[in-house]
Amino acid sequence: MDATTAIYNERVSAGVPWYYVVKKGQSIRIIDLEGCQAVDTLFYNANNHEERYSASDTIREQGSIFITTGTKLLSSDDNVMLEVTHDTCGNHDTLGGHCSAESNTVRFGHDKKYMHSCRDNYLYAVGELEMSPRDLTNNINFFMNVPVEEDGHLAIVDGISHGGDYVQMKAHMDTLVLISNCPQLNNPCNGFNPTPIQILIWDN
Amino acid sequence: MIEETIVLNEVIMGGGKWSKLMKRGQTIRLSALDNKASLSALFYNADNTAERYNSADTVKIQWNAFLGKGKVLFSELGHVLFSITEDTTDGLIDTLSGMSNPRIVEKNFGSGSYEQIRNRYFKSDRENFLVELGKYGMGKHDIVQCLNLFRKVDVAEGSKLLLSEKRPVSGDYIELRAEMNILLVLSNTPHVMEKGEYAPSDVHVTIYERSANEDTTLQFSKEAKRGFENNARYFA
Repeated sequence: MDATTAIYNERVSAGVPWYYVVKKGQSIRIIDLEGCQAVDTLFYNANNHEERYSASDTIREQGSIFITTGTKLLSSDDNVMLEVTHDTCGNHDTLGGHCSAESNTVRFGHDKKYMHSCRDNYLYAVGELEMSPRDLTNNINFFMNVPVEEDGHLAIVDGISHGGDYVQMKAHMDTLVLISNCPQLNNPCNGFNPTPIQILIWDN
Repeated sequence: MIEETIVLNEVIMGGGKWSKLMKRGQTIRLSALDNKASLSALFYNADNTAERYNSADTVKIQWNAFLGKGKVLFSELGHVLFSITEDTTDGLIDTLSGMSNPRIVEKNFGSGSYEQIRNRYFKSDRENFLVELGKYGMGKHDIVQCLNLFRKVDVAEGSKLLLSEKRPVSGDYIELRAEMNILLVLSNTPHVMEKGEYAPSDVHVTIYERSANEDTTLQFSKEAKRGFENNARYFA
């Protein structure tokens, strides 16, 4: 699609939260501008935030743990929220969740407590939106690579996205999109170097 | 020898819902009374129910999508809610595939309404959880990705989710030690990927002040130990 016809076209800095309502029928594209960036993303029914993206329903109904072209993103109320229509990257994670100050202390050591995290971004955003912290749940990590082996071993390994890779979704309902452009510095989810993303939205 | 003190002994009927406040240090034993046992669990810090089980942190922190004896169950605030202190099923635990709802139950088992079969009607996890959470003033936004006990979901070829055919045998049990004060909510309904006959087995529940079975040699990972340190700080 032509960027000049987009109704929204913004650069989102490394490490910050971003949110916007994508209307039913509109398409949203997230571009990993420099590659290897993890984009932690949650979705809500814009008219009823208690209906939200459900990672377990989404992966179970499609029979695969990865998000890619053709994936229908299902809600906790069993509805299709969005469908992935384009994906130049491949496998996007929805098992690993988002980083927090508290989980950083457990994963990497108590000295990491004061580092910036996705959870802080999310809590700040849901505070501003006057939503509840209980609205936060398991998210998608676009462009993050988390393979699972037969014995269950799971590792966050080097990203596979390159600069310019993108994922695009068409909204099946008015959807609040809530992103934390991940600031994690302690593992390779974003190549130890958080970078900006570009977001475009089109009317269809 | 640990002196065993049982504080609760109950049976959760097949299809039933159940909840209990547990005190830090108590152990719950969940025993399959037949091979169709299948529990789904949600659990919360009872002193602050905004803090709850986080499946993503649990698998990520411990580097494994599968759970079993010696693993711990993390909240989203870096605390250990439960330790898995005993598991005779050898890992029949699933935290990837979520919970059933009425549509899925009808798809997998057909129609089984109250009008048709009275109290044996086909209940779903979602219905059970909403009813039970409602008793604590909680609701939809408190429902997160749950923990499923007595069934396992394999990840084949790196991505495909398949319900394992392995089942518990009668008498198999899993013990969870509460590492904080916990609100535990259980739904005794067939696994969300189960099909065929709707016939969930009864499950026996025992809560101990301390279990006589407690394995004092259990080795926890360094990540789990830092979780316990966070717990100690919380209760300081």
